[in-house]
Amino acid sequence: MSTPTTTRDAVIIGGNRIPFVRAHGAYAKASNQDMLTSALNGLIARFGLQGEQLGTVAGGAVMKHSKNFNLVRESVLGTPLDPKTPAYDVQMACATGMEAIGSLANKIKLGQIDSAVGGGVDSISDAPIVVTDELRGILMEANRAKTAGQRLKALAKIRPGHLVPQAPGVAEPRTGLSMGDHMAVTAHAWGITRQEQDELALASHKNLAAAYDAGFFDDLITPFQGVAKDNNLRPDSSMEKLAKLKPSFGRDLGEEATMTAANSTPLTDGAAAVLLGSEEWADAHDLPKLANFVDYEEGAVDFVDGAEGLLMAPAYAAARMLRRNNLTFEDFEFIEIHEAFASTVLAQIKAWEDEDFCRNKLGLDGAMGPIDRSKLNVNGSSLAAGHPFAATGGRIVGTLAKMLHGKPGKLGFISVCAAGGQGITAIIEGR
Amino acid sequence: MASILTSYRKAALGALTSKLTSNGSLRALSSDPEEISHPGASAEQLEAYRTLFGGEAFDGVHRSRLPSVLVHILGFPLQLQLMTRDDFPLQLMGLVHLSNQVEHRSPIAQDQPLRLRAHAENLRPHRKGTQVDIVTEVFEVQAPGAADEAPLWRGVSTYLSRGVFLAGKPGGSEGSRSGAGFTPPSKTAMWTLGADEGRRYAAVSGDYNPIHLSGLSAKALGMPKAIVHGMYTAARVLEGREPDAAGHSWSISFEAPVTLPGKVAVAVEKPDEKMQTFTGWNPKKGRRHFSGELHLP
Amino acid sequence: MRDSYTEFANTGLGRKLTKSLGLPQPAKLRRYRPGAPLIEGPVVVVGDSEASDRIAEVMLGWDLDVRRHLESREEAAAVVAAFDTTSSPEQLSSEVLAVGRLLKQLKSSARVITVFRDPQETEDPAVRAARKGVEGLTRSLAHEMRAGGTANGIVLQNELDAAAPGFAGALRFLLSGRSAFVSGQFITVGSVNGALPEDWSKPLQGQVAVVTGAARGIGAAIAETLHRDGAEVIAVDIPPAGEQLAAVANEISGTALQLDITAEDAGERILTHAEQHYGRLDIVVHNAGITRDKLLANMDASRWDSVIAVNIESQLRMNRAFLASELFNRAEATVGPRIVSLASTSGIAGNRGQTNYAASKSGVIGMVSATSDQLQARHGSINAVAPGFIETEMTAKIPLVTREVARRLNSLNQGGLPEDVAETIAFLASQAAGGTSGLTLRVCGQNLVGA
Repeated sequence: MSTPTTTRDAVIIGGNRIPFVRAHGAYAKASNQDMLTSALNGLIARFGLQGEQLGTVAGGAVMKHSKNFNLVRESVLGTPLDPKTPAYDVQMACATGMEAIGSLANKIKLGQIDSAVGGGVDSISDAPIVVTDELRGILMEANRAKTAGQRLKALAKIRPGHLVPQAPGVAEPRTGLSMGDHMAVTAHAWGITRQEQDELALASHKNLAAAYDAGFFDDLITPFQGVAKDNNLRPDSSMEKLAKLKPSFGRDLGEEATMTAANSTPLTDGAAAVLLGSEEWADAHDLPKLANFVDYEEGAVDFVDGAEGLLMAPAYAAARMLRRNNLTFEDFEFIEIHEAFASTVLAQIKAWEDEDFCRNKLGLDGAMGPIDRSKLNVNGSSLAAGHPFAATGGRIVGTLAKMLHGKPGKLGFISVCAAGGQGITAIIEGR
Repeated sequence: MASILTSYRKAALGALTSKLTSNGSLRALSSDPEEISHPGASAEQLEAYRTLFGGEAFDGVHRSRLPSVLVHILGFPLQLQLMTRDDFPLQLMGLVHLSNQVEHRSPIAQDQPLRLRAHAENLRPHRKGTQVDIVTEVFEVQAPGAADEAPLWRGVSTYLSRGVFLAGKPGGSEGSRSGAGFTPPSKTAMWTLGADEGRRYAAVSGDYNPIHLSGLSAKALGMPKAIVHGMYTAARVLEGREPDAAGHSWSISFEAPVTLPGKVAVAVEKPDEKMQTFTGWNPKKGRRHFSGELHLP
Repeated sequence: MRDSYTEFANTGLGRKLTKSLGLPQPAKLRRYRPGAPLIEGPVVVVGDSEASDRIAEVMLGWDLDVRRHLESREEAAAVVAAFDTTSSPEQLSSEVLAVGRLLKQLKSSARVITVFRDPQETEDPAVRAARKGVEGLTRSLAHEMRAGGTANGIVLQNELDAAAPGFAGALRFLLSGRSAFVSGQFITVGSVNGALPEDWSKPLQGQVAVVTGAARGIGAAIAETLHRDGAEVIAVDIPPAGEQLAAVANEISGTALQLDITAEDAGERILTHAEQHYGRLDIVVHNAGITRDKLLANMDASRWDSVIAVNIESQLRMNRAFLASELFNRAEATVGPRIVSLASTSGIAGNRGQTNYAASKSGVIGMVSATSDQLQARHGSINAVAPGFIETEMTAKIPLVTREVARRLNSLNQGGLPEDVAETIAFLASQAAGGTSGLTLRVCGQNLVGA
């Protein structure tokens, strides 16, 4: 037995997503499977993959019904792909899409597979409602009962309080704090101002709107259920309008609360997928080679007692990833930092630009920054597009790969934070 | 050992009989201890505790030793027994749990037989009345006649009897309001407590004090709403922070009670590796519910 | 889009009822199905020119039952009459009357095809009169055809004889069910360009085609038909139509290209896509079009300008890009690139409320004839198809009475189907039609409106 000592390129061929829409709106009746299938269908149509047996398809959803235990495989079976295409589900909170794509890229690099689709989907509108633990216990007991009498006896234990459905929490299980309230603490600690956050939010909307106007998304998005554009996009937004909003998170900070509904991403439904392949596979199928997926790094922080901000893991992952690749931020043509909140982006940037943080927390000789803001999220990001948790990785990789196409050797940086104090950073290279 | 319910019943009756001496002052405190043997915490008790507070399984792999609040729970009936004794100078009903300190010196296993001893001491004035410390000690079961070793676990629960003053001492300086001018630290967690949180802790701890059970039963005792047990908040803070091997100590002071249902903002700070401080407060009103420290070995 | 009347009229009761009431009796048209015979029954060749012999030979080559005469009890599936040597009106008589005698012995969905030379190519008054005479009698005969039968002509130009591949291609198209809704029309064969396919069931094998407006209706039918005939299809539509576009592309194993054809670089983007995915581009079908109907007195700039921009300006711009590219100019032997555009009978006859649309569709007809030389120089072709009343989502929105009248106002007493337009486009896009260029062919069931 020998393990491969050299690897080959994992090529990003292209991406596709359905427009992202605000929760409980246009896709209220669509399931995760509907949306992921549609995103895959658009990808298949764009690249003529009908009947193709791909190496594997991986992705996932953060909010998932138990009936969707095989979500990705079931979705694949609903597409014109060869049913012999394997598929599996991945779950890493908001980094699900990135983890799916990154691990698929590794499989391609190792020669295990020649082609793959990675992505994700999420629906807040179709989120599973869970019964209380007590009711579940009673129902399971009734289910195990051998006689009708036993069953009745079990069911007789149900009390009205048991029937209150438990909506899935967006709160961190270990702290009970919502992600926004966690971020508010971090933002406050880094002294991030309302002004900075609103500016970033405004830029996201303006950049996304401009990209649409330029037809940038013509080959990145396929409409779904009559929606052709991300419906959270507000091209006519302004600093004046944003300044009027009241804070939504960290309200206990009083006057110092800075996070509003506009500089935080809304709950969103949507799906995204990215086609990857080896160079040979892409050539044999006459497919474009937009960029290489170079490397990625997972990170996690101890956020539970506030030692580090919940969404700061990418700051650490980036340090390790850049050191491993002998790169600095100056080496990147484009920087894509997922805008979970405007302050998430700003806190990461400030951390990388902060001498103390980089020395003491990252163990570096000095600051990693500065970060050139003109390279940041130039075609908009989650504040404008929305953020269907598991779909965001696919959106960013597809977008960035297109931006780097035709710029051989130019690099793009990706940062995606995730619940549970986790995050992923990645490097892709244009070709 | 008298059951907890019996103790509360006795306490209710005791409320009718005067605890005062003929000259109107409190009786002197007896230092006679209560002592019992205990078979140890059962697997069922541990599982009920874990179901309420979450955390890792008591399966001998993830953890196997008793959390210190569960040891407190084992000793609580003894405390009640002591406080309902005729020679105990304060009325049990209406006692307010002011603070608690625990030294958890050695680990205690499931089903480990224990010897529990409790005594009262330090009856002293408080701004609002009179306070007393109930010291509970937990020992290994030894051969008869063996000399007392150091306790495995030692807890000091301080209770306040409102409006009852020691003779000649109309209110002391101790217990001055420390909550005034409280500025909440940066929160690290938010607890959402349901209306049934008091009943759930009562089921685990056996402390069925009516002020914790429901709004109605609390009103009967003059509380506008049910409040959660102070030791519930201690247990919840300590969950996942206590070392299984023990050797740690902690203390908690209770201020404004947590009404149910309700939210509690919590901050845990770690000034150094061996010390954590924790604070809980009402996120809307900014009133402090509790604060305390955990000292790790 | 169901034509319930035609369905009813084709039931036993319906036939009796419509006949006794003197109502139109629309026939169920014979349409092309892959694998079905080209035409079932004897085909009678009328005329004694050399060309008539060539015609018989060509058809024998297709294993047809070719006759010079028909027994009295027999029924013919088609009559092909050669008038190529007729040089004066009086010479028409014998062939025309021979055709006439056969009309009562025709099967349903029969074909009468006249073959003659282009009247415009002679300065001799008698010769031109004779040739124009064939046109007139063919058109009239088309009106007289019954039971789904059609009459059309093939016009030979430039001294071509019936051996030109383009002639065989046109003849086969007119005989086949592909031309079900084409009647009273003339296909001009002007060059020896083109080639006959090895497999007539896959006439577009190995070809790459782009179809604009492919997400629905006629465009989707075109994409499906081109794919059925063997082509690989790039399905183009505007980004908002992307979901339906993807469904069409996936159905036909093609590729979807979301693109606004009015974009400056639309042509280049199609070329880039074709180069990347297929390395070639053989066929362009300009199908995308919009209507913004309004009486001219009430017409605003956005209605006028958008129709002109989408329906004709975009095609002119894209054609310039295609013709300037290497990809689209790669002639193989006698076969070059082909462009087929969607015109409309409104562009021929005009239509109230459609000054903008008619201008754009007449514009297409003009563009096609003017671009023909450039394509022919590349051994290619450019033609247009003008649909009449076609049963689509669009025409389903016409009020019932208007729709019923529009449907029956043609020689076949019914509306056409999107596939009828698609079949004609597939024919004009095939190498077998290489001899025909600059033509606007109507697919209208010989609509009474227009020429």
